[in-house]
Order: sequence, then C-alpha cells, then structure tokens
Amino acid sequence: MTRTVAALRLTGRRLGWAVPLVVLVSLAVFALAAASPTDAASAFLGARDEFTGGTARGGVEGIVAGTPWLDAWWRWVTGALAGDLGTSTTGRAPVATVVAVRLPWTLLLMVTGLAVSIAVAVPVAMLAALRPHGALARLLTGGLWALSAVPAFLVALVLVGVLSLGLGWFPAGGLTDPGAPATAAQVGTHLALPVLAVAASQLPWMALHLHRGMAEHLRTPSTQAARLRGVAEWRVMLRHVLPTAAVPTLAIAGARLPEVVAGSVLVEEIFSWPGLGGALVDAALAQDFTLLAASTVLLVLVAVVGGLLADLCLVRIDPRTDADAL
Amino acid sequence: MRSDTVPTVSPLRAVRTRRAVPWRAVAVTGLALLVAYALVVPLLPVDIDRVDYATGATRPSWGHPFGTDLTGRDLFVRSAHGLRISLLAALAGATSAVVVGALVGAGCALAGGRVDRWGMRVVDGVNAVPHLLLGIVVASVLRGSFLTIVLVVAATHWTQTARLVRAELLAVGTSDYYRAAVAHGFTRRQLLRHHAAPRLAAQLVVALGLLVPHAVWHESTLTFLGLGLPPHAPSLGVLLDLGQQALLSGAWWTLAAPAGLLVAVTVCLSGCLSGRGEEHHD
Repeated sequence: MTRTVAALRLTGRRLGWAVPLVVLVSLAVFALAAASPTDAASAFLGARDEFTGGTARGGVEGIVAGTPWLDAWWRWVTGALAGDLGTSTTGRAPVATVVAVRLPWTLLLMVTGLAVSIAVAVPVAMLAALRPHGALARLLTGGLWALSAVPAFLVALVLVGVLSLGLGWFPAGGLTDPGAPATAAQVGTHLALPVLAVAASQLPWMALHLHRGMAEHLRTPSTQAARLRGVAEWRVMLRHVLPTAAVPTLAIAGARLPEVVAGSVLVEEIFSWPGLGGALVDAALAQDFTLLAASTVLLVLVAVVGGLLADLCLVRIDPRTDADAL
Repeated sequence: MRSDTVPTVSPLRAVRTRRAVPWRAVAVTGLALLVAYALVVPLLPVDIDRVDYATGATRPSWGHPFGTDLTGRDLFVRSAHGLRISLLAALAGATSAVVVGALVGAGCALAGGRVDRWGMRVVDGVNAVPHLLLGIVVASVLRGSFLTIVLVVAATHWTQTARLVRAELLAVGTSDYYRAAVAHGFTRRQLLRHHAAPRLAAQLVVALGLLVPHAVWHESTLTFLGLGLPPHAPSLGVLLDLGQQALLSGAWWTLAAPAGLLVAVTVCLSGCLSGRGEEHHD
C-alpha cells in the first residue's frame, strides 16, 4: 500500500518536473527562432517572395512570424492549452493534425523496436551467461561490442543495402507500397527494417548489461541452492536469474530512453517512416518553427514518460527500490 | 564442500589460456594510422572536387583504393579530407563542451548552496532532453557551418563534465590532505592550484578523450540529416549522405569508405581510453 502511494508520488513528481522542462524547451525553440538570421516568412516563400512584391509576405507573416518571440511563445502556449498548436508550413495543415497523424506511427516504431531488442537480448544474454568462457559467449559479447560502436543510422543504411537492395526481402522505405492502403500486412512488411534498425541500436547495451547481471547471479549461493534442489536449468534461468539480472538493466533503461527517441528520429528519416521524428527533421530543414516546437516538446515528453514507466517497473519488480529516492 | 569454491572453469581449460591480445596497443596504433591518414593524404595535389564522369562509380582498385563516387571523385583522398574536417569539428566541439562544463561544475562546487542546487537542476534538465533533438533545434537556426557543430556539441555535452568536476571538487574538499592544507592556513588560490587542479586536469583529459568519438558521431549525424556542414566541405557526414544516395544505385563502396572510417575512429579512440573513466554514453 505504501509502495503504491510512493509510486504515485514518483509519478506526480516526474510529471510536475516535466512542466518546467517543457516550458524551457519551448522557450528555447522560440528564442532560437527569433535569433535565426533567415526569417520564417522568407524561408516559406522562397523565390515567390521576389515575384509578388511583398503582397504574399503580408499574408504569410500573419501565420508564421512578425511578433516578438516572447509574445509569440505566450500565444503558442495559450493556444496549445486551448488545443490550437498553430499551422505547420511544411505539413500544410494545423500542427495538431500533423502530430495526431504521426505520433501513433512513432510510438508503434519505438515500442516494437524495444520489444524486439528485449526479445533478442534475453536469449542472447542467457546463452552467453550459461557458458561464460565458451566460444559462443565470446563471439556474442564481441559481436555486441562491435555493434555498439556502429551509429544507429549506419546500421539502418546497412540493413537497407543488404536486406532491401541486395536480397529484396523488405521494401526500403515508406509506410505502404505507393497507393496501397495501410493494411496490417502492408505496414508489417514496411515496419520490419525500421524496427530492426531501432532494435539493433538498443540491443548491445541491453544484452551486455543483462549478461553481466546474469553471469554475476549464476554464481550466487541462492542460484546454486536452487540447482541443488533439482530445479530445471531453464527454470533457474527464467525464474531465479533473469528477474534479478533485469533490475540493473531496467534502471539503466530509464536513462537510456532519450537515446531511443533520438535513434528513432534518424531511423524514421532514413526509411521515410511517417512519424514525428521525420516531421521534426523536415520542420528543422524548412524552419517551420510551430511544428518544430510541438514535435520537440512531444518527443521530450515521450522520453520523460518512458523513463517514468521504466522506473515504475523497477519499483514493481524490485522490493528494495525506494520510489522516493528515484 | 562449500558451493562457492566449485570452480566454474575446468582446470584443463584454465591451463590453455590464450595469450592476451594487447588491445590498448592495437587501438593506439590504429588511431595513429588514422590521424596520419587524415593529416598526410589531404596534402596530395589532388583536386577533390574535380568531376570526371568517365571514371564515375568505379569499384575499389589499386588506382582508387576506396573506389570513386558517382561523379568520379576519388574516395581515398576525399575520405581523408572528410576525416580531417570531422575530427577537427569534433575536437573543437568536445573541447568547448569540456571547458564550459568545467567552469559550470567548478562554479557550482565553489559557490555551493542555492547556486549549486539550481545549477545541478539545470544539468538534470539538459540531460532529460535527447541530445540529437537539442542538436537539431540548434542546427535548424544556425545551419551549415563549422561553428554550428561546435555549438551543438558544446550545448548538449557540457553537463557530463560539469557533474564530474563538481563531484571531484567536492571529493577533494572532504579529503584529509585538503583539510590538513586548510589547517596549515593556505589561501584558497593555493589550495585550488596545488590540490584541486592536478587531480582535475587528469579527469578532464579523459573526459575530452571520451567525448571526441561522440562528437564525431554528432557531426556526421547532423550533417547526414542536412543540418550540419555544407556539401562543399566533404566531412564524413557529407560523404555518408552521398553514400546513401549512391547505395541506391548499387555503389556500396561509396558508403563503406566513410562508414568504415567513422567506426574505426570511434573504436580506436574508445579503445585508447578503455578502463579509464566511467562508461560514456549519450
């Protein structure tokens, strides 16, 4: 009971802390937008600016620029609280619509990617931990160290080169084939490579930390006692070793989540995945600051909420964790 | 027999232990070779921007060890230029990050009280934002220059050094030799100079070394996304971006050359410092 209350306190504290964070991040975006040497109206109009003699400019400035940045920020905040996030110049639609269409795809990619990397990391770590000096263990840990040195976008490019262009197993990008409806089969085949890329970027640290935890725990008296009692080896691994090895890994997972968010931005850009990260890069390239502010704030929130979920899991599975100290 | 005395490795296996590979030496040699490549090859009198479609997209050969890109530019020379630009940008960015971090960390530790609390809260705040996101936002405004990369790396990575320096200074402050020195009546300046500075300097060098590969990664990522260095400065990021386009037409080696260099630099740099300092991540 007290642990539930402590977990709720933790939730409240983290979400309360997210408020000043969001305020600061959005303020920074608007301040930087004001400091930008090119103004948003010209960025949007481009060559048209010269041909229309300033008439188009007047119309656009009403939407994208023209007020001091603090006023613009305040308007954005009050608008956002009322449900109006402004209009995106790259999306040619209200920002709320752009975000609502794209956020589910980003979450799908992140959650599936993390699930796949957990599904691979657990058996890999177990195999390596069972025979810590065997050839397989050395091969696996060596391979994981090598993989951890390769940036996520390189992994993604190699996947495109080999699995899509070389072998032709999966499409190289997009959500569906051109013109095809977004059915489960279509999305599934297009999701495969982006998910693999996200999973591959998270796999090394996850598997290596799990492996270390398991290797340590296999030697403890409690595990040896379970074996002596005649508990089956797989049961020892799954019920005795894995939960304890998962604790330090989960603790790190919370701190690692911002990286998952950043990694998915790159993966989305490479695979033309219609998620929030792709929109963020487009917005940055086109100086679409209303969309940039909204997508940055949302992705920061995704990272904060993800970290909170990881910590709540930790409180749930490890009775030693003090929720008030997290 | 007590359970924890059971050997986990059979004695037979333990006898034929293989000779340990001197990984540190391998990494140092590799890094030296890479730096030499980045410094010497760009001195060759080759015009890296000369387009020659007749030799376009040739596979790696003796004439072109890394092959040529789609417009016939030699990748061996271009990659050397790229590595030099990327390393310079990374070094400048990492140095500024360490300097800013050291100043903030020292300020917090020396001021203490409210300044310290608020300073550390800012550090937590910056850490909660994914670095790449912050980088994209900064780069969207100040696009396409060397300074952008330096600013982005400095703006997102000073926090680790700030924490490190603060913790180190606080640890020095509670140590016995420091207390003894205080009791001897040394001035604050003398204390900092003779007791804090030497210990900090070693830590800062390691922090810098750990930050450089990360900064190389940031440069290539931002440039790859079109927000970093301009296309006429052939950094690793620019080459990777061109490599991605060429990959679609089957010229895999245009991607392999910069990608291999990027990974090699990261591995060698972290290999040189392995075991020193804590594990470093985003």
